[in-house]
Amino acid sequence: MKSIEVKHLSYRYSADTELVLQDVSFNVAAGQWIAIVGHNGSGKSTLTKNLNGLLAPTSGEVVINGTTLTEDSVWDIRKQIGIVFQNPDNQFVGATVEDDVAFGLENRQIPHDEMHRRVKKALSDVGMADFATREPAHLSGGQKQRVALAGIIAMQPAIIILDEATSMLDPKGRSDVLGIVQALQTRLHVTVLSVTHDLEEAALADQILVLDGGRLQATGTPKEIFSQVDLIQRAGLTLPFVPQLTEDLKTSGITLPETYLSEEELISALWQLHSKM
Amino acid sequence: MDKLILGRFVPGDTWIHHMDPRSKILISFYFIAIIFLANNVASYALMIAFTLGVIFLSGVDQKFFFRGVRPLFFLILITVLFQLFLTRGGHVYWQFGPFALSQYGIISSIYVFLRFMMIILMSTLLTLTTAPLMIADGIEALLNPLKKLHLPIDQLALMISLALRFVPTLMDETMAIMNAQRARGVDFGDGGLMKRVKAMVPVLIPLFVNTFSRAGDLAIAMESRGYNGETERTRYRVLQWHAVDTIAIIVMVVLTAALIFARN
Repeated sequence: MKSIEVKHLSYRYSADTELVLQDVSFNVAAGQWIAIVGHNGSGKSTLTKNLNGLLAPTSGEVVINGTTLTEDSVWDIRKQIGIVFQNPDNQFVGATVEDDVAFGLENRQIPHDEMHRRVKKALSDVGMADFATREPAHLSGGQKQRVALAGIIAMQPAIIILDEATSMLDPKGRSDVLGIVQALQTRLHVTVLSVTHDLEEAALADQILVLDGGRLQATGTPKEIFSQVDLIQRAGLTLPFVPQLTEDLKTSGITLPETYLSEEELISALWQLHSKM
Repeated sequence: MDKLILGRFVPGDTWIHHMDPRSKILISFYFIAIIFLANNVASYALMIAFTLGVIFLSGVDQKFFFRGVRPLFFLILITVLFQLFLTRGGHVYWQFGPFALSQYGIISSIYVFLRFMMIILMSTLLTLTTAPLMIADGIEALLNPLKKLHLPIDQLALMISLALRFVPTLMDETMAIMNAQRARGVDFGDGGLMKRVKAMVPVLIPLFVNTFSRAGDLAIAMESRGYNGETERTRYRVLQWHAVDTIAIIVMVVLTAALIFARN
């Protein structure tokens, strides 16, 4: 089943400016993790805003779970998509953690008891149950982002979009948030779309879309994308550590059969090479 | 700066802390209204006894109350002096031009002083024992009937709670901007009034710009979580009326009756 379908999407902010997105088309199957990568100004954020109707496409079409995004369907579509944004401070609506998680539920007129149950569950899912009555000023960036994620989990969306959600976090906060999303994806089979310029994060995805200058430059699995070094460089991105190491080994004369994603894969490949020598 | 605004709430575990914010707000306003009924020694003594009793029950350290009085010190002083020297009647002890020290003047200045102190103490008590968020909730609940007049109470409540939520964030940001400007040579504590006002410009402009961009981000986040400002929303936090609230209302009725009996 297709979760997200984007057909020939183009977008410009006003009539006399250039197109920010040009003829972007892709499909995401339900339960997949898709990463959209590109450097600053490549149109990633504009693309996410087109997906939940915060912006209306100049031309083309967005279909979410079989429903075409129109002015009438926009609120129904927003119910199916939860977005975690970049800045943890600017998306914290509630005066306390639990109020913030409940905000989306209040908007959907979820009854009081059900709401309390879901807030509790969502906070324990992200490991923030002990912080329920804290105020945002007393939380770290990573904790705020986990609360934002809990707010999305409580709404039980079919699609979670991470719009550079980890870019302002320290390495620990980043791996925490990504770990929670991964667990959620396997447990509840939600579709995850992560927008990022961090290719370490993109390596977690089933598919990577490379966006540059508002055009979709390439689509493929992380291995396929990471083996195309010139593509990555043209898009202004940097390879993650392991593919970069594979690449560096190649330039110093040690050619390995393919590009590896994890350290374990690379280590066992190096052992094999060593035993052959 | 953080301490100044939100630090005024002192968490505690007394009857008064557990009261519903609605009854606390109503009682505070009611108390301020009936204080003007007091007109003799007996009625003032009654009100003072009540105020001190409530302060004792709240278990809040007295030094917080002094802090509540301090900013209004000059207002109290000027009003009391006006009462003291410009009221005439009874025995006159001293006179100079339009000023006179009379029997009635002394009595009414003492009354004004007591009235001032009690109003300040009671309103300080309200903010000391009620979390800002609860005050916002209480105000919203009390304003709710105004929906009949098509006033946007829900939006107003959301506005208040967002404003409260952003106070510490903006305080932190102001500090960060001030430090960043200090690092570039701006001196905030030095020079005359004009120079100091001018020094605030490089703080206020980035603060304004950042606040608007925050508001934009927040609006987008709220909208993508299904907020549209029109449809009715359910409420996560529900205020609960306890027995102690009913008792407090009864106490106020008894106090009013005693006050009317005591005045002449």
